[in-house]
Amino acid sequence: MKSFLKTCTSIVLVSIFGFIGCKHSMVISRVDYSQSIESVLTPNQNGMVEDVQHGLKFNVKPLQYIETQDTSSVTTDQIRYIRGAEGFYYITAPNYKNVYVMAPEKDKLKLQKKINVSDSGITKPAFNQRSSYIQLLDRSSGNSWKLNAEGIQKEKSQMANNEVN
Amino acid sequence: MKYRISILSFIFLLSAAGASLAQTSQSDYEIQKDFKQHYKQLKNKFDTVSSPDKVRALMDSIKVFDGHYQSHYELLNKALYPETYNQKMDELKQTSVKTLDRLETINQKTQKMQELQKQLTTYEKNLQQLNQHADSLKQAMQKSVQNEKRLSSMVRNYRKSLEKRDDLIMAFIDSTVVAYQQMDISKMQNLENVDNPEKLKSNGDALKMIHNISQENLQILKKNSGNLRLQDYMRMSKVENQFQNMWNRLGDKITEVYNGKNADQLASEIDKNISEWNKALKNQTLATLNDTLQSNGINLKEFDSPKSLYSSLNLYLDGKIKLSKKNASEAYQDYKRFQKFWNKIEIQWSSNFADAGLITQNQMASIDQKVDMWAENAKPASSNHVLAYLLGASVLLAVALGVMLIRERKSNNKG
Repeated sequence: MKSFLKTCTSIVLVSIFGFIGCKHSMVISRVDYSQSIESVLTPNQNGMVEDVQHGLKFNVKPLQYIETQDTSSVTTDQIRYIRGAEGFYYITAPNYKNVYVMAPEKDKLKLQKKINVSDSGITKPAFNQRSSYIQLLDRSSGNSWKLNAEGIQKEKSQMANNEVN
Repeated sequence: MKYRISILSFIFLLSAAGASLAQTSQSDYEIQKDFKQHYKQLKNKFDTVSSPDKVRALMDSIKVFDGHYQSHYELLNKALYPETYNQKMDELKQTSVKTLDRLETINQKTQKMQELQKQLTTYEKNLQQLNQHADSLKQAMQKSVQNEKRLSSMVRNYRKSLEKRDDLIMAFIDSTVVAYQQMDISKMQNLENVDNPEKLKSNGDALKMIHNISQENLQILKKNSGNLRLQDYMRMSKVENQFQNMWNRLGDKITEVYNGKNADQLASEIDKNISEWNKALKNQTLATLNDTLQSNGINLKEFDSPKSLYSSLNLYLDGKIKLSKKNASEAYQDYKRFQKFWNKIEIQWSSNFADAGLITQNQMASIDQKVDMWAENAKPASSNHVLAYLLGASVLLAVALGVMLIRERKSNNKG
């Protein structure tokens, strides 16, 4: 009787798991979303930017609000973004203090992480796609950082240079 | 020069970009943007470049360009997708080669064109010179025509003046003849001691004048052999004849009353002049007659004396008469021409010819007969033939009508 119960239980469990397994959609793993070259976009007067090449369109005002607490008018003429291998969008603009890591969702970009780079802001930021990370570059100073969804790290060569200086 | 500076500045910009890349960090975005921008600039330069040397300079700058961006090969492959960096560079190199070919061809064509242009300029110059030459020739021709007109007008005037002069000489001859015929020499000699000097002085000029006239006439003949026509010679021969007659008749008288010392010498010179005048007049008249006959299409055997003129005329007429007998229509035009010429001689100048001793009256009558004979044979027979045919046809018609009439009567009688 015990063994019968065990057998029945195991059959039920296998059936349940099998049922659950049949309901799951197909998944393709190890997808690389990396965008080889960053996109540089100019917002319109409403703050909308559109990247025709990569099929992305969004409003920059929420980002601007976090930076300046002002959305009365668009204060930047350039938005730079790049997509990392894991699929997050790294967005910033000249003189922004932060890099915004945004996760794409249905009809929205959700803030994954706000990475503070400099309190004074980077005057000439740029993103480069590197093999395992996103490189943030300050073109005016030549400083560069390694970025990922977890955080920021100043690049070694820069650190060495700084130490020499 | 400007272009070289532009290319140098381009290379300098590339180097500067490279240097800045080395010194400060350049984003991938900027690298691909710069690449595209420089690529476009280079491509545009190939579109606007105008000489093979400049293309070669640009080819050098492609090498620099390639050297500069070769290190970003992978990045640019991504940025240029679906094209690749190598494709873009090959395209640029091909463009440079094609442009070089095109410009070298254009250069060659331009050189050829310039050579042709030079040739054309030379031809134009030559043509201009030829035109100028032609113009000057035209002018010279016009001048020559004008001169010819003037000359012919002068000749015409000269001939008129000669005619007047001859009239004057004739008048002089008439007056001299009248004056000297009425003069009684013996009576004059008796009056010699009274007022002879005055009379002799006034009359004595005649010998001098006759001498001058004879001399001048001889000179005129010698100098103007080409300008005178047959009618001039005819008139002159008349004057010469009258002059000679006058001199023959009154020469002694005129010499006798001459007051000068060299009267006999003048008289002998007048004799000589008249003789030469006569001879020259005869020769030149014959020569002009020869020319006149030739120009009228009458081909006589050439003659240089009255005797040879007569024999030449006879020979010509005999030949033509013979020809006319064989083929009348062929010689008819010749006959018309000769008749026209001969009529003029016969009507206008027969006495002149006789007086000048060119043709005697008998000879002229003989030639006249031969001309008549020629006329008989030279008339075209075609009209006679037509008349004969018409006559024959009318006779046949009359006979046919007669026969028909007789038959009709006979049939009526039977009925």
